[in-house]
Amino acid sequence: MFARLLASFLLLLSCVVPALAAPTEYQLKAVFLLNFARYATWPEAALPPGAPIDICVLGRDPFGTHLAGLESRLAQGRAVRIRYPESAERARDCQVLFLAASEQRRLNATLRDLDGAPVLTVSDIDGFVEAGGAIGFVTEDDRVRFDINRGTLEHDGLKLSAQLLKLARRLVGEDGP
Amino acid sequence: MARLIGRLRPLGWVLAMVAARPAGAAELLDLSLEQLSSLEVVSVSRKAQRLADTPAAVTVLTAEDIRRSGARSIPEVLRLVPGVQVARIGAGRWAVSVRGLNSRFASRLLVQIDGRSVYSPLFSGVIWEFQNLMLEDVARIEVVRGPGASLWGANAVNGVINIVTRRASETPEALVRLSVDQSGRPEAAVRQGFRWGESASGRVFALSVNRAPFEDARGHSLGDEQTGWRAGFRLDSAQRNQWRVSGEAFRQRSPETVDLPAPGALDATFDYEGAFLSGERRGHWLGGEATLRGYVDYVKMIFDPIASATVSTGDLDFQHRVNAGKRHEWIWGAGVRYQHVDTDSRSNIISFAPDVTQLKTFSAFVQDEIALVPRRWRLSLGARFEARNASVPEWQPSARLLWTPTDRDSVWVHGSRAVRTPSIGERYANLVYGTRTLPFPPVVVTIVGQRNPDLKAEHLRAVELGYRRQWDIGSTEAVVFRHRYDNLIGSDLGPLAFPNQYIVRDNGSAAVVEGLELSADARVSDRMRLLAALTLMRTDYDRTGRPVHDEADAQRASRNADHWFTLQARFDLPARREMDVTVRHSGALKAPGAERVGSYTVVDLRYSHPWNRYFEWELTVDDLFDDHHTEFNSDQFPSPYAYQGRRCVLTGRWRF
Repeated sequence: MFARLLASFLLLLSCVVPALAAPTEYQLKAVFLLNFARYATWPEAALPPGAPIDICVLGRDPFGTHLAGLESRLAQGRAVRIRYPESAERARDCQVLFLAASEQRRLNATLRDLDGAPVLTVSDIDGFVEAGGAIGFVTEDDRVRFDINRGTLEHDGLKLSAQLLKLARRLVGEDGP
Repeated sequence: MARLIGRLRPLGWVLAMVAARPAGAAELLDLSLEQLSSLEVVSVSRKAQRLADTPAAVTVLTAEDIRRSGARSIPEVLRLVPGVQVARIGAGRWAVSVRGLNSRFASRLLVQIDGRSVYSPLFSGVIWEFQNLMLEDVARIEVVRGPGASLWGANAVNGVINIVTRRASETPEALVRLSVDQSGRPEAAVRQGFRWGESASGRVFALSVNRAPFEDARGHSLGDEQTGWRAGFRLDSAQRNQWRVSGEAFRQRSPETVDLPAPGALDATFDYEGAFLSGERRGHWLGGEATLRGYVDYVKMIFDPIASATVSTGDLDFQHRVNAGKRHEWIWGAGVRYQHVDTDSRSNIISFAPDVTQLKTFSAFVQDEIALVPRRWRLSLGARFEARNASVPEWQPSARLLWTPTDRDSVWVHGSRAVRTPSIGERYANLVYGTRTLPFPPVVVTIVGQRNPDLKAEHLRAVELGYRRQWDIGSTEAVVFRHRYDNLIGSDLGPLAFPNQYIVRDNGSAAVVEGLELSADARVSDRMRLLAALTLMRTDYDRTGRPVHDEADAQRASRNADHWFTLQARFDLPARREMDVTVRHSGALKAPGAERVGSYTVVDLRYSHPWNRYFEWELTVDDLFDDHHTEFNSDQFPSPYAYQGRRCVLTGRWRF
């Protein structure tokens, strides 16, 4: 009875395992990071002319090989560089910083260490923008969306293009609704 | 066992095929923001991401896991976790254990809801009957297999189950749920979220419980229908994790038939009522994160006509997490708990001496997590001291080493020592098991389990080796463990004081439980996700050479299956409809005696259909093929084996 059941279950499975067309979640999130780098403005002191834009990952990299592919592209006419800083203090000169899920427990401390630095913080940790992060990924109905904390952006001296703000699922912070 | 592995080989093959899928194209880089936002992705559950750095066998059940399990109670959700044995005893009664030694009040497990311990000091087990939560408001359930004692404390011997409810800001809307089962029993639940000025948000809820009774082997109702209600609130600060206040009250009626060999079965009614108030405050302190948590809890149990008990608890707990240098992360904490237990015997079946017990517990713990080699090697050392009343403080150390050779692989080893203190029932209760006619001289004696206030704590030494792998479309995990128990509480033949034959409890048992836990979670296509959890386990009690003692140990061992698994396929159909199929199987429990629990394989089905933005309906069918089976026989307050076949529940949910 059990063997037959399992066999029929597996047969059912083999019918529904066609090739996969949709990108994986982190493949798409990597591309979003590049786009955030394209649509953000940093204070001139933080990003001198000609300097590359550093996209950093703090904690355990969930992107696999997908992040390395970004280095072949330009953002705002600048080269894109991927870095893995060891601590939040060393991430203060990144332009875009992705906080991996492994950093969840240290989230508040990390955000305090980054306080005031012109770093665009991005993460998919639950409640990231409420905790003071700049952009929080949210996966809804298998689509990757994001929330933006405008208070944090203003505090850190960053600007995001209107196009990006328009696409946000939710705007929180001082200027928000 | 070999046959089982042979049967499961195709499953491994399918999973391997699925994992080897190539990644998508690079054209993504050229898409516009709008196009990116509209793309559908194959989403990996981030729980595995979050767990990648955890050197322990932890499974997190998310709100989606809870919803798609179709469960109406917490134990049903736990079936998705490897190493967790979930067996239904009756309509509301469950035997739930992590890594073996299962029993109705599996006493080596710590279960917490928002940091509030829900095990009863009477049995040091969880009375699952009245843990009827609003499952829509549960954010996640974390299941730690193996000792978690150094962080969580007493009773976290072979596992910790942490139930975390959603923040009030995450439940801003109103929810109404109405459901009816096939016998026409209605249930209702309502919840309303609200904002409380600028500084807080909150919710209030109320629900009713109305579950159909189970049947005996001949199809007669056992009369164990569950009825009750629960209502409560939760308030959260608007700023994340600053403070929380919550409280609930409940009442539950849970009749059952208690088997007494003579003078026969007794119809008993368990009435539970209780309430709690709980608060939490978080903030920065001395360069780290501090959490202060406290609660008061009151539960009254009336076990008519046998006994009654009230348990009042006050608990205060402090925790501080601080980074010292780049390499060290310290967590330390301390807690006090006061429990007042008042028992009252209403019959000669059970008697307590003393009637009133006060438990004062003080505990302190410290853990240092050291990044030996950043991003590659991590060591965590911890210990907990715990003192209860005048007893000698117990110390519970643990060491965990995590190696992450790549960003996607984690390997860990873990060794620890854990302690369980005897329950009030074990120490202070005399319990009549039944009567027996002696062979010579042929007289009838009453078998009485005798109190033993001198019982010492049980000890566990555990080792574990685990491997976790993250794929583009999912994750897999394999863990082997060995638990060595000493000073286990067993029972032996005591003195004959006519007309009573005493059975005495002692610390004379020892056992080894070892096993393998496998789990996989794969998003095999954009329409389907597959989850599997398989456990193989062996329980060996040491022989003591005393026949009655060994017989009692053999009975305990026989309550554990040697293998079980759950396989769940979740289909996302067009128009946001969902269909979920779960196959669950358990090996036989080799209980001595005439009746026994045979192996069973059951298929559960869930189908949900959103009507519009506000309304969805859901149909769940348990045991689709009507395999009239039984899963467990209560070892505490023995009752007839309870059977159940196909059960359907139709549910409507409004959110507005």
